[in-house]
Amino acid sequence: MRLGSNRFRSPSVAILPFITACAQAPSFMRPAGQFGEREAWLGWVLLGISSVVVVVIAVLVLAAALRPRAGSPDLIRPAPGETTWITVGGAIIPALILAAAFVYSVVTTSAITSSQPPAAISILVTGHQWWWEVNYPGLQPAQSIATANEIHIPAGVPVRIELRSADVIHSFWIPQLAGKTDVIPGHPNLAWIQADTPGVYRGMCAEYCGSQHGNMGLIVVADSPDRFRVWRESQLASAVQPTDPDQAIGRAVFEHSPCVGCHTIRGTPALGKAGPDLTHLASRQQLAAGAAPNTRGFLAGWIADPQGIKPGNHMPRVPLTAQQLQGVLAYLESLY
Amino acid sequence: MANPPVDAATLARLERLWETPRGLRGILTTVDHKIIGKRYLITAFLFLIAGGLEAFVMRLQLSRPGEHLLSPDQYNQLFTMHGVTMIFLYAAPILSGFGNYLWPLAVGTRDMAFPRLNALSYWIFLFAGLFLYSSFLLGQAPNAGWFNYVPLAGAGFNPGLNIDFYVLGITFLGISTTVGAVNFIVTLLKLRAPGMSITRLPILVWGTLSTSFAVIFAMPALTVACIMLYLDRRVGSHFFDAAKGGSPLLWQHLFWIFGHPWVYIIVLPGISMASEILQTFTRRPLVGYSVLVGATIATTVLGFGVWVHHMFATGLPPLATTFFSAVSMTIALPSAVSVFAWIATIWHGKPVFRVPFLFVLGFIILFVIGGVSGVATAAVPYDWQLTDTYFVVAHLHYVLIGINVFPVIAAAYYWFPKMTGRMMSERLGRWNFWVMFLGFNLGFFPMHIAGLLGMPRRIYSYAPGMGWDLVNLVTTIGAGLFAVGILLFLINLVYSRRRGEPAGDNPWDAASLEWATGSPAPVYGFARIPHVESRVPLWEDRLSGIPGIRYELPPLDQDHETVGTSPLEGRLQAVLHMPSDSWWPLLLAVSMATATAGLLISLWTVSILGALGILGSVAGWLWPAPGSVAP
Repeated sequence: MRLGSNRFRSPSVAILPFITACAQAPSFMRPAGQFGEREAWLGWVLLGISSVVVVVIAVLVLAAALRPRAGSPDLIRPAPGETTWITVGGAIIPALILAAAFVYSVVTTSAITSSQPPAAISILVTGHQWWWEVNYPGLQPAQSIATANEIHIPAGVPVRIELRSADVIHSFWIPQLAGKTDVIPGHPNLAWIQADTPGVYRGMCAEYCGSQHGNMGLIVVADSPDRFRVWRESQLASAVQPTDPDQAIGRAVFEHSPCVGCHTIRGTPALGKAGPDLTHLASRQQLAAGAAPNTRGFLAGWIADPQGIKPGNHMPRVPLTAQQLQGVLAYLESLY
Repeated sequence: MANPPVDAATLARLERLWETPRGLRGILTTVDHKIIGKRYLITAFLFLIAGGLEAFVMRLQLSRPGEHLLSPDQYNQLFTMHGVTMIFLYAAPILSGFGNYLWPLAVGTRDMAFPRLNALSYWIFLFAGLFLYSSFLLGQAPNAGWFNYVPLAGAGFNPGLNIDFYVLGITFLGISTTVGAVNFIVTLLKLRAPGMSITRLPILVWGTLSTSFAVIFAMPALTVACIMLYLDRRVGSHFFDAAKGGSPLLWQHLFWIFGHPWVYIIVLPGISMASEILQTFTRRPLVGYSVLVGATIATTVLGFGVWVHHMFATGLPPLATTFFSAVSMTIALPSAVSVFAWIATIWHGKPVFRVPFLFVLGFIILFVIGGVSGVATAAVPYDWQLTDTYFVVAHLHYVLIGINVFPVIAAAYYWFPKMTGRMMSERLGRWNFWVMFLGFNLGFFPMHIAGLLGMPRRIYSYAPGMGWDLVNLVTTIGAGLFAVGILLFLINLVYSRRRGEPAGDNPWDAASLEWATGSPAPVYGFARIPHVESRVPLWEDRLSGIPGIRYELPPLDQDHETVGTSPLEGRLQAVLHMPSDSWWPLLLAVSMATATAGLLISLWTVSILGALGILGSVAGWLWPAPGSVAP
């Protein structure tokens, strides 16, 4: 994540040091594109006003409670003019503040919706328990890309995300790029994201969706337009052929295992749809929707014992001998 | 002045007429609002402790990244039951407890309007709570969140009994809440002391009065949703099944049409208790009484127009979200008005810093913090970021602990003398306040920051390197300190129950009617029902020289009787014969529990048995007592 590339200059409030200290956090208060920025600005203004209101009222309460008093009688009788507090402090000033906040909020909404051009790159994202299917629809099947848990976009332009659910309700959220949009079965939704500069932006499911809701992450990789084109070309290709005996053994094991019931590797007989497309698995940064980095060790652990890394997830353990596992690892690691 | 002269023979007769029989029979058949009220308070507090322990285990799990104390499924059941417990089994029943105990005393009568219904509502609350908690014994506690969204809660993704416990338990509990609300409304409208016109009501009752109407309109949405989900799960209907033409969003609408009014239902009575206490300790009548009443009613009404702010990210059209955003911001106005009414009362009063008042001051501060963070979530585009993050967890705990728990603890300190005849320890109380207040803020303020750092809700763990480690550790430490505060409160309760200073009738020199009778309140409430001439009856003679109460009615010591009055002016209309101890409420509740259990395990014979029990109990209940005339 590239902190230095932030254009955003935020007003300084008390919690800012805390936030910058946590530079690695996927904080929407450090946005990286126009949608996130408009939302964050609205947020800073609202939180700023809120802080002032809390401080002013706390001071008033303390002042009212602790102000020195002359020796007054036991009980105090009501007197005229005591309700001025309520009219001014309780009604007029809050009404003005709330009206202004509402107007700013509506202006922000319309600014966001008016920056969503009809001709934009469109990506289909489908939420599954507990991973994200990512498709770049082409005019023909051969021009389509299928991947998982990793969305590549060109930097500097708005990107349309069409959202579908394969099972329960999820919510699509890349904090630094835009707010959440729910992913609801039978109810297609649209989200818009934009990253101004190349970088990697973390996202996650934000609607509770069952056992492994906490491990349903995804990343958005924003590339320069050139690199994005290169990535796209590479993903359009079918899977590479094995180039050494280990990989060949691995491919044979894979194709004769239950793995093919759930996973697709384009250009091979593996055509399953229940799990992520593995055609270019080795090009991805993470495994199991962000539950582990995509290294040989974690890949081995994931295949040998999926329930150990992500208990309750829908990937069964497929019994493999050590030799078969080595072959499958060699094969999967070759799938760039 | 306060206690009228009544001879000892009359008091003895009243005592015999109203006392609960000793032994098991009395325990199971009593309809005394004071006993039922205390049962509500104790039961709800035990559920608070259960919900608190669930929260504490979750906080241990989240205290550092990658912790393995709990499995994902255990965590998910715990956070669901934490919400269900706090919202349904603590927050509302604790207020019913204070309402039950205090209302007849505060409005000058001898019991609730429907004493047997009152017993019924307690028994159902208890059985529904035990029913929900029995799910832990099977390891199948509800696990789809207190909001229970479909299709995750549908049979396809959740085939166990977990969700059946939820839908049946909540439906069952809803009966308790509903009959309780009816009882409050009728008590208030028909059983007030003569002369207590609607403008002379103690501020205490306005919250529960207003929200009792809200219960009647809000509860059916949840009940219907739960029944529809039960049918989807067990009978094969498709109300919520998108593949068969149903809609998952329908559940969300129904749930939040109930859910947001419910938030006000569990805080407005707390606000009213705080106002009542504030008046006593500022030594003056409230500034802006009518404003506070208006704010309560306005909040209740507007509360029905804000539910979609829980659904801003569902992709509803901007016109709809903008409307609900506007109402959600507007609802902050009555709160702002109330806060300034309290500030004005304190400013123009002469505060006495006793423990209940400290808790009220703490409540005001927490209320404001929870209020302004609520406004932030009402702004649609910013809510797209905030919703389902820890910022919202912080917000809702400031609101619910700030506006429910703090006033409840204040009320416990304040009315403990009336319930027991003894004062709670002031010294321990101060420790109690400061530990709770600091612990709460240390624990829950950092949750705002966790939210801003992008931490979503309802995750059972998080990876290192997300930047969330420090805030979570601080939160867990603060939650522990808060728990110590609650423990100090419990110690104070137990200690003061035995060793507290004797209180006397009116230890705080308060203005309202409940302090015009003995402490602990006698079984008959008032030896003679007072005539009320003022909104601050026990202060009126000192404020204006005119007595605030007069005693004109006879003691009504020949039968189980109190008086009925007109709804607005409080004119004397009738002498009412009140029911006494009865087995029927308990039998009816047991029959309902049996029927519910039968529906859970699909043993229809059990359900039919329960249904027959229900019919029999209702028939017995309504059977005219020998020698009585038809009502």
